[in-house]
Amino acid sequence: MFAKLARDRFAWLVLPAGILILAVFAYPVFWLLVRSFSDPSWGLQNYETVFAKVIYLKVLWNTVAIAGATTIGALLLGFPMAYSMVHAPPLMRKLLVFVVLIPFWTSILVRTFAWMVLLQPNGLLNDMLIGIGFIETPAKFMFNRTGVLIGMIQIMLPFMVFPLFSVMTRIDHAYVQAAANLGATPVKGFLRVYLPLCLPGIVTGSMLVFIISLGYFITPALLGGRKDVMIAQLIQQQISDFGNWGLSSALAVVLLIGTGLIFAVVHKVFKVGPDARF
Amino acid sequence: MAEPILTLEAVRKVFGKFVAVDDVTLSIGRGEFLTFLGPSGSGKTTTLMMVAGFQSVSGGAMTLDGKPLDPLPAYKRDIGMVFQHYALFPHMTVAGNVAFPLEMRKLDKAQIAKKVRDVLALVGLPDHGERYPKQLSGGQQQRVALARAMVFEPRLLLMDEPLGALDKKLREHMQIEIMRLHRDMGITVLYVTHDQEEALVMSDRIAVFNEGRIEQIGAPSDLYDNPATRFVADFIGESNFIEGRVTGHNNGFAELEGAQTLRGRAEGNLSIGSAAVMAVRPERLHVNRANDGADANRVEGTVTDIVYLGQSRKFIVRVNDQTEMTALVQANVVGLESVTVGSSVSLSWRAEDSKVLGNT
Ligand SMILES: Nc1ncnc2c1ncn2[C@@H]1O[C@H](COP(=O)(O)OP(=O)(O)OP(=O)(O)O)[C@@H](O)[C@H]1O
Ligand SMILES: [Mg+2]
Repeated sequence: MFAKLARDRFAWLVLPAGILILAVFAYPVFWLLVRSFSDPSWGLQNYETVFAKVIYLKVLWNTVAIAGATTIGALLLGFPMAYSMVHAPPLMRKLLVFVVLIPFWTSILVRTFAWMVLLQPNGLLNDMLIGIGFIETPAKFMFNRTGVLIGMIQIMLPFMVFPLFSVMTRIDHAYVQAAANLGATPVKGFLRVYLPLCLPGIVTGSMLVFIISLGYFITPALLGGRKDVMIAQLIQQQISDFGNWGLSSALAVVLLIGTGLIFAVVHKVFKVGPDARF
Repeated sequence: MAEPILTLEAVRKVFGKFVAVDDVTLSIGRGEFLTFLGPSGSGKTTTLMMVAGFQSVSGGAMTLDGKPLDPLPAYKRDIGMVFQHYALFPHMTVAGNVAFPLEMRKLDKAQIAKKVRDVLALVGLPDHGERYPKQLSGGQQQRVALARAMVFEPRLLLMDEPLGALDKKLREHMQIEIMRLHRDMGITVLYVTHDQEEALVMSDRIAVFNEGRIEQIGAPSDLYDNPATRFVADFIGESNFIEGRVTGHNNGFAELEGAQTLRGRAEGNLSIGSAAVMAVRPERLHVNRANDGADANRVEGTVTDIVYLGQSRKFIVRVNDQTEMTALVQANVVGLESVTVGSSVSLSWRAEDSKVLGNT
C-alpha cells in the first residue's frame, strides 16, 4: 500500500518532462502526420511522390549511405580510441576523455566552418600534403562525399567513443588472461573474447551515430556537394523554398518511421537492454 | 619426490621499489598437489601469475619440463588455470567455454564434442552444456571453470583461491571433489589459498609464504609437527610461545632459559646465548594440579578461562605477566573436575612435543 503510494507519488516527477515532450515533440509529430496526409488535399499523394520520384529516392538512399559510412568510420576510429582510453594510466585517461569531450563545447557550425578552412583547396591539409610531396595539385576534400564524411565522423566520434568506453571499462581483464591461458593467440583472444564482450557498446554507439546522422543537416549542407543532399536538407528546402508542407511532412514521417524500424530490429537482434544475454 | 615438472629458482618480482616476491625457490613433482599458503599480500598470486605468464619475472629462472619458461608467452605455456572469479566467458555457453581451449588447439569437431561431454560428466554437469554461465550457481560455475582448465590436459593446473567465493559447506564438498579429480586424473596442481585448514586437508606439500618469501615448504604433518620458524608455528594450527635465551644445545635438543628452564627439540642452527622461543601445541599440554606433573617441562599458573568445546575443553592459563597459555584437553581425561577459573594448576609437556625456534 505504501509502496503503491510511493510509486504514484514518484510518478508525478515525470510530469514536467512528460509535458515538455508532449508539447514540443508528440504534438508537432502528430501535426506533421496529419499534414502529410492532408496538404494540399487529403490522400496519399505526398507519399506517392516520395516513393515514386527518383530524386527523392536518391536522397533517401544518400541519407542511409552517408549515415552508414559515418557509423563505420566512427567505429573504426572510435574503437582504438576507446581502447587506449581504458588502458591508459589515470592521468592520460583524463586527458583523452577531455580531448574527446572538447568538440561538445564548440558549436557544430563553428566546427564545420573550421573544417572548411582546413579542407579548402589552399587550406592547411592540401598545403601539408603538397608540402611533403604526397600530391601535386590540391585534392578536392570539400563539396563532395569525402568532405561530408570527414566532418560528420569527427562530430559523431564522441557518441561512438563513450558507449564503447563505458563497456570496455567493465570488461574484467581476467577474461583476456583466461583466453591466453587457454591457448588463444592475442588475435584469437581479441576476436573470440574481447570483441564479443564489446558488442553492447558497439551496438549502442553505432545506433546513436547512425540515427543522429540520419537527420543531419549543417555538415552535409556546408561540406557536401549537390550529390550529397540528405533528407533533412531536402525537407528544409521544400519548406523554405517552395512552402511544400505536405511533402516535407511525408519525408519527415518516413524518416521517423525508418529510424524507429531500424531501432526495433537492432534491439531485437542484439537483445540489448534488460533481457540481454550477458 | 617424483621428477620435477616445474622449478622456480630464486624468483623475484619487484613493483617499483616494492619487493612482492623474493628469492622463491621450489620444485613440483609430476602429479603432486602443492599449495601456496600465506596471509594476504604475501605474494602467492604474484608468483602464480609469473608461472602462468601474466607477470614478468624481475629475477631468477623458471623451468617447465626442463625447459626455460620465460621465453614462452602465456598462450604457449600449456598451463591450465582456474581464476579466482572463474572468468568464464559470459557470451559462450558452458559447452562453448569448455570447447574453447580445444578449438584453440585445432582439434576436430567430433573429438571436441566427445571431450567436452566427458569432462562435463566428470565434474557432474552432464546436462548443463547449453546453459550460459550466468544461469549457473556459484558451485556449478566453479566446476565449469575446473572442467575448462582440465579439458586440454595441461601440463600443470593452477588454482588461485578457487573456492574463496563459496560458502563453507560447498567449499568443503568442492575440496573433496578437487582432490578426487587430482587423484583420478594424475594432474599436477599448484593451488593457492590463505585458508590453512584447506591447505592441510588437500595438499601433498605446502609452501608457506610470508612477505614475499617462502618460510617453509613441506608435507602438512611436517609443517605442523616441525615448524621451522615462529611464523609457521603460529600460522599453521595454534601454538603457545614462551620466550627465553638458549643456554644449551645437544643431540637435537636445546635448553631455553626464561622464567624457568625448558627443554625442546631444536635444529642445529641455534647458537648459545641467542634469543629464542619455545613453541608447543595446545593439545600437547597436560593440565595438572599445582606442583604436579611428571613431564620434562613444567610451568605453574592460574586458570583464567575454561571453554567447553563438546569433545574437548580449552584451559586458558596465565603463566606470568606476559604469557597466557592454552591447553586443549579431551573430554575423556579425568581428574580435572575440581579445576575451575582461579585454580592454581601446572602445565607440563614432554621435551619431544615442543620445539625451540630462533626468535626473529
Ligand atoms: N600490479 C601490481 N602493482 C603493484 N603492486 C602489486 C601488484 N600486484 C600485486 N602487488 C603487491 O604485491 C604484494 C603481493 O600481492 P599478491 O596479490 O601476490 O598477494 P597474495 O598473497 O595473493 O594475497 P591475497 O591472499 O590477498 O590474494 C601485495 O602487497 C600487492 O599489493
Ligand atoms: Mg591472491
